[in-house]
Amino acid sequence: MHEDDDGPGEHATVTVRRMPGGLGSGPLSGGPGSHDVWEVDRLNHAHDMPRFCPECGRGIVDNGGIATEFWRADDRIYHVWCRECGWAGNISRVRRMVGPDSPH
Amino acid sequence: MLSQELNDQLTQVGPGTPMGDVLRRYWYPVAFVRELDEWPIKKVRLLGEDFALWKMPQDGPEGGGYGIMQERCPHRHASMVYGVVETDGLRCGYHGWKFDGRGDCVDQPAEPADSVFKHKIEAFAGQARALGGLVFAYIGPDPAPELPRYEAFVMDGVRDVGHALLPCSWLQIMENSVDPHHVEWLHGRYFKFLGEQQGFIAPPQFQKSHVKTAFDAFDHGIVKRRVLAGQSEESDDWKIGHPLVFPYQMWVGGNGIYQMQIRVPVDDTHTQTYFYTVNRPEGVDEFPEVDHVVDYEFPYVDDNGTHIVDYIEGQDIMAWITQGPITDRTAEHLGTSDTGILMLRRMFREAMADVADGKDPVAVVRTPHDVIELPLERDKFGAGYQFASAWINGGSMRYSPQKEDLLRLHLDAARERGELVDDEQASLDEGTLEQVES
Repeated sequence: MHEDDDGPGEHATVTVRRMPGGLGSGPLSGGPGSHDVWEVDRLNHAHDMPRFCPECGRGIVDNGGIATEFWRADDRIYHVWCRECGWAGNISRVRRMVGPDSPH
Repeated sequence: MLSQELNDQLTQVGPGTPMGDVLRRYWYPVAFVRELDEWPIKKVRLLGEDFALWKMPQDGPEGGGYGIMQERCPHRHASMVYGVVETDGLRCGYHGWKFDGRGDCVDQPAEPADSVFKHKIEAFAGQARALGGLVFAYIGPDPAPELPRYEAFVMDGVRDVGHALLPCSWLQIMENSVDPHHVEWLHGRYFKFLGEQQGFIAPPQFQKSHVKTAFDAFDHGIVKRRVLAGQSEESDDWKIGHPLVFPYQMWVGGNGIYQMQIRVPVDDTHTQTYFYTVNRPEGVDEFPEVDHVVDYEFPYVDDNGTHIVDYIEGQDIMAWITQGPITDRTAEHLGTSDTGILMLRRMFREAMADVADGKDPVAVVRTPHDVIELPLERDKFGAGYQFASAWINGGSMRYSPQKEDLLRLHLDAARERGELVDDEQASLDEGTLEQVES
């Protein structure tokens, strides 16, 4: 996922800017307080959202599939379903490889 | 978190939208039988469109059935809600054009006798039928599917239906139905906090923490399971669970209370809710026959517009409405405890794909049947009469005109079963009975 581009940053302070074109039909009217505090998350969502199915390579949302983002600790994960081939699974951007810390 | 495009597609219910096309494959309750018995025409708003629902006379060709057609007369758009019910159709009150149950114009009294103009005029008409004291409507493409005879609508018991029109999208209400964790917080910790502040004891059953949850797709939606603190995987809450009934209902209950929670999408930002409850405590087999189910509108805000949150449904409604008319999913933050919501959204997208491909989406019933039984815990949260009492006293049934009768029904049945009833709770409930009887 866009490995050559770090995107807006996970928790950086950013200047509010327009969401990249083609991803929304309406204004960025947010929930309570969203304009300042959560704008970075919204931009990260738009930036990182998987566009193409890892199984068949066809478009996901544009072809009727879905990509919903959720969090597990610091990991941002997209639950994806591809309408074209039926593939479903989770996609997460990996920023740092961390191995298990076994008792020793 | 979703893109704005996806949030729009999941929440827009009008004609010609992807979700609107999905939702038009199902039947919806739009009135009580009682209402049409009291006055034979009712205005109905459903999926962003307005209709006139009417009851046909017993001596007409449809023999006391129901009709539903577009609200505006095709002539000059006056409302058919102010029409005249006749044996073979609904006549517009403005100039007398008459339409039969199929929407065909069958009379234009001001036109010449030899005119064939009426044959060129057709109004949109759906189908409507009574079941379980409700009138259900179908406004989708032909052929209409079967009206699902879910257990709630055909089982014996004492029926009690609280209802309210809420100013928010139906989807955020349905997402609540696959969000088990809210129970221990909204109905547990928050309820307990209110009790501590206001001097009452909140129901302890809802305060148990969740150990794990699971969701399984089935023919009628999603089965939700949970293991609570102190329970094992042998509990009904895990082995059986209870379902979200796709696309707009939830079947829940336990300990003699059976409840279909119904959320009818009126339009993008309004939802008609019904808490359709059947009281049938174990050991009671005979129930009085009634002409109509007991129905009542329950309050969820006080005179100042502040949410009433000292009862279960009021707490849910506070959460649904304060999310906004359509919650902004481009700014939400889901966690791993929101797995059910991920699954539900995906199921809706799968349904959109099915409809676009010319197939029936999940839970459309084509096979004639007597009853559809759904999974439901019987021993819910590991509590007996105490749970039934808490549900009635701490839920929207506390506003029911038959509340005292319901408490008596469950208490008598518990004692008949030899159940060890909490003395304090029973005396509280019986105290209520004594007050009413005096």
